[in-house]
Amino acid sequence: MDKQTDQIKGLRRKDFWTALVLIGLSLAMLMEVSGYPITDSYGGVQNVWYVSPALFPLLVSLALLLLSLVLLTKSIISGGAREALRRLGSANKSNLSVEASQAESRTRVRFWTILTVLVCYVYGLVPAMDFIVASVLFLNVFIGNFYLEIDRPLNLPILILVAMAVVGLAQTLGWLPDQGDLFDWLGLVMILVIAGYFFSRSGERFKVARVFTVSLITVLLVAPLFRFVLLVPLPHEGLVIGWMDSVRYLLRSIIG
Amino acid sequence: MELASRFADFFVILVTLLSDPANWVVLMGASILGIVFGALPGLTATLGVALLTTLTYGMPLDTALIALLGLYVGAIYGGSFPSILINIPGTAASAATAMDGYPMAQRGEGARALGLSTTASFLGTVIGMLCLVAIAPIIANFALKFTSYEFFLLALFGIVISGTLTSTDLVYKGWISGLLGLALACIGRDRLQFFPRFTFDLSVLESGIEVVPVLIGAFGIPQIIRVLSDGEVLARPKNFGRILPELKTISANFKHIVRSAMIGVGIGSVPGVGEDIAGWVSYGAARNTSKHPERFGRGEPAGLVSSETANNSCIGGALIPLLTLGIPGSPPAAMLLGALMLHGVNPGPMIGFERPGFLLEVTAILLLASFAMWINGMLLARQVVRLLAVPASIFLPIVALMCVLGSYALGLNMVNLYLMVPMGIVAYLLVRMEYPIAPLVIGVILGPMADENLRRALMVSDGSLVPFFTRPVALILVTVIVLTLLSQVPFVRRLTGRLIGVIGHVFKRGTGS
Amino acid sequence: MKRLITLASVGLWSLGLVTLAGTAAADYPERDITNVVVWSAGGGTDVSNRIISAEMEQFLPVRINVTNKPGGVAGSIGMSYVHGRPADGYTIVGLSESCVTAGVQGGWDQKMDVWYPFIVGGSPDLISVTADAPYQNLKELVEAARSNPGSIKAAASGAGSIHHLNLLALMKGTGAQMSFIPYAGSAPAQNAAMTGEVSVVVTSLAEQQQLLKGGKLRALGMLVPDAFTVDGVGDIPSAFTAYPELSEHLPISQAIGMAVRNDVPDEVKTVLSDAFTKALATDKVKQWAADNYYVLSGKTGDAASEEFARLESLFAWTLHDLGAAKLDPSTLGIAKP
Repeated sequence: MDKQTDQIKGLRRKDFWTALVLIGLSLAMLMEVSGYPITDSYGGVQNVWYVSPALFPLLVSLALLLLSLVLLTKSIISGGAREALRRLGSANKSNLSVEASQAESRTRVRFWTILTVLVCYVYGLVPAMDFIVASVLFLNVFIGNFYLEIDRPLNLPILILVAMAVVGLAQTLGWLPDQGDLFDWLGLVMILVIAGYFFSRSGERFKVARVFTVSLITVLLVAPLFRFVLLVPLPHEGLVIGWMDSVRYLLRSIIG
Repeated sequence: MELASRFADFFVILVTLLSDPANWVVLMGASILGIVFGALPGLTATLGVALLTTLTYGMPLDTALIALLGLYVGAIYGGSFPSILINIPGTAASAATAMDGYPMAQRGEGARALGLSTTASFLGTVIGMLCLVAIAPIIANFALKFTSYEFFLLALFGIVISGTLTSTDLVYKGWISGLLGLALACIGRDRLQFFPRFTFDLSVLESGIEVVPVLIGAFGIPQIIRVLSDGEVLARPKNFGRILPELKTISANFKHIVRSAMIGVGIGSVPGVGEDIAGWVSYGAARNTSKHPERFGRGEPAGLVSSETANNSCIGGALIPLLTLGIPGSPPAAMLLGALMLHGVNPGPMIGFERPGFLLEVTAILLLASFAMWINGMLLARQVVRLLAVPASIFLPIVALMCVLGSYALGLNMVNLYLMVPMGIVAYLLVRMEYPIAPLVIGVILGPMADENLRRALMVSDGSLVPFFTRPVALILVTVIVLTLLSQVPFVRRLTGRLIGVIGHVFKRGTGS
Repeated sequence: MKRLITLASVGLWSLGLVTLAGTAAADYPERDITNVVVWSAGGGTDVSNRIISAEMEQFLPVRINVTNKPGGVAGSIGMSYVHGRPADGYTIVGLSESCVTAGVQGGWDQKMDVWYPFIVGGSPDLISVTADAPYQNLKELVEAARSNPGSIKAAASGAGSIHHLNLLALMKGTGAQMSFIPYAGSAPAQNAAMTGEVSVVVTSLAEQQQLLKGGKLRALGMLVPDAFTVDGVGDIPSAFTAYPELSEHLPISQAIGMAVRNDVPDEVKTVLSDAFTKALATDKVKQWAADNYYVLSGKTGDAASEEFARLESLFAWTLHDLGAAKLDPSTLGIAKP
């Protein structure tokens, strides 16, 4: 075995918790499946045990239960379970060096940044904002944070993104009236504000300009390609796509 | 005699097709578009064929076919680019390619890996094409050996083998991952009786979980997080070297190529399964027959070559039942069937009478498509490698954008998009604990097939399990599955080891005395 | 910064264009129309919609872009999407008879009367057996099924599908009891009949024609009042000839077509109906229909709405009787057939 014993120990420790989660999951599945029709007729098919829609999920959950029990046993035998419980007792007493814990906290900040940006984009912006505006906003914040190495967890661009996403989500859920083009205009303004923030924070003008142009060019290449060449409607078509559309009709009427 | 005249016909068709310069443009354009579609996560061969169906409606049949097949071949191959370069398979078909392609790229052999995958894909497509023209009726008959019993076992085998092959920690972690995929596949209305399972009365869950958001979420998001946050380093273009066809390595791996191509054709011809599992099965076969199975998963060219040959030879295989029976052998082939019908072609047993020469025309186009793929692949690979000169902190956010667009584009369904993110987070946690992700995706792909066919098989046999052991193909599959599972159980391993030792001992004593 | 200014000016300029175009609004249609097909690409509904849309373009000043939005129950995701779009006739939905169950299956809370449909038509269903099956005609099959109920296995696509309903009606009308084995579509059902896994299959003539011609399946009877002639196969008699009482339960025909929201302006309905009727009369569509054994309907307006209402009531109550409906059809106001 070439793997570090430390690493394996860590895995066995985590396996203990995963096994518990998986056992819970398979038991929940079994509970749900037990309510499915097993012997009565459904959908014109006379159910016997082997026809029932419960059969397959039943087999899957039993197999999952079996394997998670194996995983649990392995974790207990290898001492991972004891270690996991011991750690639980003395929570957060890590014996990491200062540098290692710094590196770990940087990793954690980055992880949460990725997650926040992605969640805001997918759930907040895409359904409610013009796809082009939303995507430029998203790329600006995402690339800006990582390429310019802004390791502050809550910086202005992220806060703006979160705020916009909340407004977008509220519109999607109907808590706020649909703002229409106004929301897209707001997005356009925010893109400029974010670019301004990066300019003010980072000494490297060239890098900031790169963030901005890359986001813009990527979106302006990809979105029209899908919308007008491959004829795939985009999730939300508002202000900017509307402009493009009218330019297209203008061109068509000129060409004939 | 007949063969000779067929070859003459074949060349006449080839020359006719090539004499029209418009066909050249369409061929090259479709092939490049296909490679791009394959390479971008979320844009699959199926989506590409669907989109081109619309765009080629007004074209003559042969031009449309050139476009569609050119794209199909390109897309299956194109998935290998991101698999090798950034460990995000562009399509499920190239997930097995990442197993050895990415480690190769990381240790500085990226150019070699790209060259190998291009040539292997080319050879795979050509061998598939040869099977289509030479032994289509035999293969079609083979495909008719598959009834519900065999479909179920094949699906099960696909999950077991991918789970076994990809585990880096404990082998059953791969199986757990596969089972999680199967559990996800249970969500939605069951396709036989329409009974809602695990839908919790949410109408968005009724149609079930689609493959594309799972594929993108599970492969794309963990890799983005690993590179941007955990500090995994992507290969740099300066370590890449030149991209060559790698004929030497290819000829050294010739037996893997032939075997993988045959597996690809066979699996492609079975209705309903295709490129997605062909790569895994041939990868497994290559590992089991290799002298150095321990090198697989760490950048072994044989593994890369096997999976790439198989997924492309699948195309020829998938076209066999499509053209001879009117039954598509793989998801993109199903889309192709629709496109053909749009052009007034009704593939089926009578196609040879209704449209003599059509089969040869398809073969000729397939040959052209594979050449176009090879040329474009060799040219594009050089440019694509340069993309890695872009810092990961710019490149991966753009990949994330493509992931979002890709999960939406196939079904135009926002739910797919909403699903992708949680899938990605769960997948990331699983990856952190060394659960392989590929079996989960394969589980989602094959789950409905396994479920439906198991129950239907039992319905047909009135609950009897006997046919699983009396039908020849089923029996072979059962044996292979049981052996694959047992070979991973430590107790059985020890037992067989000891058994072999004892036999050897007895044998030695026998000859010695 | 310069780039920004250019961008902004381009933006404002085109904004001006939009308002200009708005004031110069001509009659419907002035923008491209999107046809959202609720089934996946490559299927019968998709192919029909793509052909008809392409032909309709000739009679309209704009394009019709066909996209697919499958999913949900009985195409409910696509239907909800189109129903949620403005009632301006720029988004139409490509649907089929199977969509009528979306309501009772709980896919959405609407009836089919929210649509103004245009029916292309469909291919008639027929019953066939495996090529080496002992049944030479429908009578032999029915006798065998009567003498040994449930022993013969019949394939059709999933519970509640049109082919399943045809099979049910056939069994009801002839008194033959066969055991229904559901498949995920017509292609796998036919495949199973070829491999001999089942001996009987019910799908449409369009889907079966190649296999009939190739001798892989043997046709026993059309499930419509008319006999059909297929090249190389000969006459396929109507099942009604042997069992006239079938006319009480059959035919249940496909109704593939497209629809707009019922509350679009009358002008839109007129323009679309006109283009649709002309498209169905083109040689290309006629040829396609003949090649694929489609029976063109061409119903629009009230006739089409009536047809969908009839199918909705039939499907909904059959599903209810099978115990596979989520809602009682009467709660949705669907009358009994």
